[in-house]
Amino acid sequence: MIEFRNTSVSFRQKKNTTEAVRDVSLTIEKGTIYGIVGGSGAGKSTLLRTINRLQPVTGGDVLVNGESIIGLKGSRLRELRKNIGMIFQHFNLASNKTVFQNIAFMLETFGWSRADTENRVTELLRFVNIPEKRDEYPSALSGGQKQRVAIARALANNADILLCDEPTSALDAETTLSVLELLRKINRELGVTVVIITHELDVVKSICSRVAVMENGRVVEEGDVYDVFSSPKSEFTRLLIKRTQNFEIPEGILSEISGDVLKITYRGESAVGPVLSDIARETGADYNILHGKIEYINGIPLGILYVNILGSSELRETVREKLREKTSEVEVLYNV
Amino acid sequence: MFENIPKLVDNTLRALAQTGYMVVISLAVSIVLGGLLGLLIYLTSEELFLRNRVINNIMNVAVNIIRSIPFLILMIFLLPLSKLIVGTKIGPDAVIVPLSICNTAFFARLAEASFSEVDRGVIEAFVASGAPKISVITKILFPEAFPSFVKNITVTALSVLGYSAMAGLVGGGGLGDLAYRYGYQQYKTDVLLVCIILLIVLVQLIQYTGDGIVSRINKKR
Ligand SMILES: Nc1ncnc2c1ncn2[C@@H]1O[C@H](COP(=O)(O)OP(=O)(O)OP(=O)(O)O)[C@@H](O)[C@H]1O
Ligand SMILES: [Mg+2]
Repeated sequence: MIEFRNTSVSFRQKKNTTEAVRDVSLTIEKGTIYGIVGGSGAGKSTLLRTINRLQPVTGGDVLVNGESIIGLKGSRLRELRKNIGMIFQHFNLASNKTVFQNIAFMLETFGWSRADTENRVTELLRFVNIPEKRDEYPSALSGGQKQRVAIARALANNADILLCDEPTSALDAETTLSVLELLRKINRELGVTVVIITHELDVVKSICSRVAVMENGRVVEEGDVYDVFSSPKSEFTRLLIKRTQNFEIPEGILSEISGDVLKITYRGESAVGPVLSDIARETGADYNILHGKIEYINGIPLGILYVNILGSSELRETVREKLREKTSEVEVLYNV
Repeated sequence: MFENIPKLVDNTLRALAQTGYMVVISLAVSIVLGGLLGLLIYLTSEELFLRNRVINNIMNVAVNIIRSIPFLILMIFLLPLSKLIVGTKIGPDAVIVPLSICNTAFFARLAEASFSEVDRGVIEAFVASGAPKISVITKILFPEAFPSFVKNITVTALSVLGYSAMAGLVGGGGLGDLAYRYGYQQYKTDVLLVCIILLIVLVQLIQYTGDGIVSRINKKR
C-alpha cells in the first residue's frame, strides 16, 4: 500500500519556486493497477518519484506498506528501492550490456550466485516472453522488446510495487497493447501493485482500476476508473475526456439536418438501443443514428450515441423527456 | 642541405625518443589524475551520487585557472616546481611536470564531459533499483562512458604531443627542441622538415589507434 499524506514537492531555482506537487493525499491499495493522468508539467512524474525517494518531498509524508519513507537512508533506502521496480518511457537500459547483463546486474549486486542468477534471468525472460533475446544488445531490440527487458530488470528482485512513468508513450498502438497485457499479467499473477503514469486515457481505461487526475500539482479528481470516466466531477477531467472523444458532426451533414441532434450517454446496464426504438414507436417520432460508441471500462459498458430526432417540436420535446427518464444523460447539441 | 645525414638521423632518433618519453609519462599521469578529477567533478555535480556544490566549485575553479594560463607561461612558471620534484629545470624530465599538470586539467574537463554524457535515465534506473552507488559507478557509469573516454584520451594524447613540442623553447628536448634549435636558430630546413613529417606521422598514428579502439568497442553493441 502506498499513501501520500499532504505530500508536496517544490523546486527552488535561482529566482522562482516551482510547486510541482501540492498537498496531495491519496491511498493506493495493495494489488491494484493505479493510473495517474494529467497534462504535461502537471507533476505526475514528480509525484511518482517520491514513492522510491528518487524525489525527496518538501512537505507532508509518503508511506509505503505503512512505513514512512521520507527519512530513509543508506541500506534501509536501498532495501525499499529493491522492493520497488521502475520502468520508463525511454526504457533506460545500459547500452553496453546485453539483455542478460542488464538484468543480471540487479541480482549480482544483491549477492546472488552465478548459477542462481542464470536461472532467475532465464525465468524472467520467459515470463516477459523474449527468452531468445538473452544475448542481444539493446540496440538490436524493438521498443516493445526493450520495455520487456526493462520490466524483467524491474522485477528481478521480486519487487512488489512497479512504478511506470509513461511506459507505452514511445510505442506504437499494437505494442502498447501487448505491454499493457504484460503489466496486467504481472499484477494478476504476481500480485504486484502497479502505478502507471500516462497521458493516454485509453491506457487507463484498459488496465487501471482507479485513477487520479492531476492538474497543476494537485489531484483534482480521484476514484474508480469507470466513475471518473462516466461522470467526471472536475472541469479539467471533463475537458480531458472530451479531447479524446473529439467527435464532431461534419458540416455537410449538419446543414442538411432538421430537428434535434442529441448526445445520449448511458452507463452500466441500461442499453439504449431498445429504449430508443421503444420511445420512437410510442411517440411516432423518426430518428437517425449519426454516431455511436460503446466502451467497456473494467467490463462495464459506457455508451455514447449521437442521434437526430425528427418531427414537430412538441413531439421532439416528448422524446427528450422520455429519454431523460431512461438514460443517464441527454445533451441537446443542435436544435434546428 | 643534407650534408650530415648520420648526425641528422642520430639527433632525430634521440629527439623522437625524448618526445615519446615525455608524451607517454605525461599522458599516463594526466589520464589517471585528470580522470579522477573529472570523475569527482561529475559525482559532486550529480544529485544521484555525491552532489556537493562547494567541493564541486573548488575543483571547477582549480581546473579553470590551470586551463586559462597559456602553456608556455605555465611551463616557465612551473619549472621551479620541476626542480623540486624531479631535481632539474631543463630537459624532458623537467618538462613532464608542467606538461602533466596542464593536461590533467585538460583531461579532467573531457572526462567530466564523458561521464555527463551518459544517459542520466540509465543511471537513474539502476539507482532506483537499490543498487549501491559504488557498483552503479563502477559497473554502469564506467562502461557506459568508456567509448567517449577513449576518444578523449586520443584528444589528450594529441594535446600532450603538441605541448611537448612547445617545450623545445625552454630546452625541454624532443622534436620541438630539435626543430627550434636547428631549424629556427641555424636555418637548417632539412631538420625542420624531418620534424614536421615526424609530428604529422605521430598525430596520424595516435588518431588512427584511438579511432580503431573506439570503433572496436562500438561494434560490440
Ligand atoms: N528537477 C527539477 N528541477 C526543477 N523543476 C522541476 C524538476 N523536475 C520537475 N520540475 C518541474 O515540476 C513540474 C512538474 O514536472 P513533472 O515532470 O512532474 O511533470 P509531468 O506531469 O510528469 O509532465 P510530463 O507529462 O511532461 O512528463 C514542471 O513544471 C517541471 O518543470
Ligand atoms: Mg513526466
